[in-house]
Amino acid sequence: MLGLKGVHAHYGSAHILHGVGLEVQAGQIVCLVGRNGAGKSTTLKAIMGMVPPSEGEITFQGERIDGRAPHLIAGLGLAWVPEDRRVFGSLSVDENIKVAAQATRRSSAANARDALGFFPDLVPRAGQLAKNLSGGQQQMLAIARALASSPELLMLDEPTEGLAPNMVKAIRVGILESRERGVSILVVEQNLRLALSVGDVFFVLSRGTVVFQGTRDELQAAPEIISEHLGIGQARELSAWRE
Amino acid sequence: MNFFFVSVLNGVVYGCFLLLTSLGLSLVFGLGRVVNFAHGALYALGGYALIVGMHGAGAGYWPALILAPLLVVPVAILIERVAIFPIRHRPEIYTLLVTFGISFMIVGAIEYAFGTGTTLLPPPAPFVTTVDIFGNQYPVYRLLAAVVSLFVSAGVFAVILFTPVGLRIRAVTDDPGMAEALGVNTKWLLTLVFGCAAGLAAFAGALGAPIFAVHPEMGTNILLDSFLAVILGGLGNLAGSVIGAFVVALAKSIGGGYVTDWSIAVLFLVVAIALIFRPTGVFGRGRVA
Repeated sequence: MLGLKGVHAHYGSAHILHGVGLEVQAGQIVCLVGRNGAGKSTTLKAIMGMVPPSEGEITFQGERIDGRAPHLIAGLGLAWVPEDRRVFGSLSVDENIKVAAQATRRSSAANARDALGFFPDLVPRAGQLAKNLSGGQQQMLAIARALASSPELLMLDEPTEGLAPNMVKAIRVGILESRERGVSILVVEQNLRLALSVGDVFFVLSRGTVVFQGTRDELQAAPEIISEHLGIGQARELSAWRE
Repeated sequence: MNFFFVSVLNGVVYGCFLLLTSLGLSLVFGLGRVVNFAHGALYALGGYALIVGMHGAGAGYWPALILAPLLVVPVAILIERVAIFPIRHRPEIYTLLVTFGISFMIVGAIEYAFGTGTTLLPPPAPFVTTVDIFGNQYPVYRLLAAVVSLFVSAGVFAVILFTPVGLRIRAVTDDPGMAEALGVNTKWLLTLVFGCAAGLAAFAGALGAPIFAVHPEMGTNILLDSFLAVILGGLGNLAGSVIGAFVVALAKSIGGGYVTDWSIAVLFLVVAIALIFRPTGVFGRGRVA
């Protein structure tokens, strides 16, 4: 479904991605993990066309998408939820959803309603301005907004960062439900415990390069990868997850 | 008292009129961070498009009034695609300088084609008269222009608030990068809005022709007043622009009524005081940078 081959990306003169390669198959939840500054968010931005790759190839559903404008990439069925949520604060919850539903011609009013329904907490707040929502509610809205465009692939950047445990639980349920409805997911996640509870395939990114790829079991069988590239804290998370 | 009343009435009428130019300016800035200094020249182009429609094509005033923006919109779209599109991601100073240059080119072209003189156009037949308002004889056409301006401005707000394209405009104004990532073609949206804003300015130029007369520099004052209104209201904030337009118009009209030579100074004083206390504009969402 989505493939990256040898993708390089720069911010000005800073070389961030050094030949990233990864793949997402239809129906999978793929987790991209790594330390801060490893290039995880840049990878998602490169896929979305927000940071055009300087080298390499990105394909989606068999089509080359690197070099295309973000709105054209969105029109193919890719949806991105950025790390900082970026909900439209001056628009209501309902209007945030409508923008996504109307922008690509992939979606319908029914899709928009369904997207809101993923997070029941948002339904009574449909008329409320997005800037007045809590951080967790804004994250739910950002995911619901992305789902409103009826994507084939949903890309989530640190969806649970800074959220209370009950919100993390709601986001996790939302991710799993999305997959149930046929949406493939590429998620960047620092919370390894959450990643292990939802992911099928894992890519570990370190200094702009993929240093590990494998299934959940394969990752669990490689604690040295986790402690070296994700940190001791994450290794403890892995032990806790096993128990 | 009578003099004060007429000054206020003139201010309200001019405020309604100023809405047409301020809303376009604010929309274009909010959407694309484009500081359009050619807005006044496009307003002047509207006045001359009216003359072309009436004297060149032999149309009546009303058809020519409709024709004027239709002639100016393609010119504005061409300007946007050729001169603004390539520099839209650069800091605001680039578009400011480029549109400043374009305004000189438009005014120069007008002077080349029509000369530097002033053309006086009488109001259309049924509206040449005056009406008695509390003992003051007031031109009917001015009141009509104010009402028409209000209706057109209300139409602009209706489009922004209640249509899919208006929703996209608000989303792009809020966060252009995110709107683009959701599938909104922000580049064409700015072209469309730039064209429509120019259409509004041209309509204002044509509508105001029987009040202010038509001359190549007619856009200079309206550009200044519109910018003051937009800055006062908060750059990119449409509702703020409405209040800004009326504050500027009333300050200019009342101030000008009592201290004629100091009317511009009064206007700037009002805006400066407001900005000292509210640097991002009175209605605050605008960005200072």
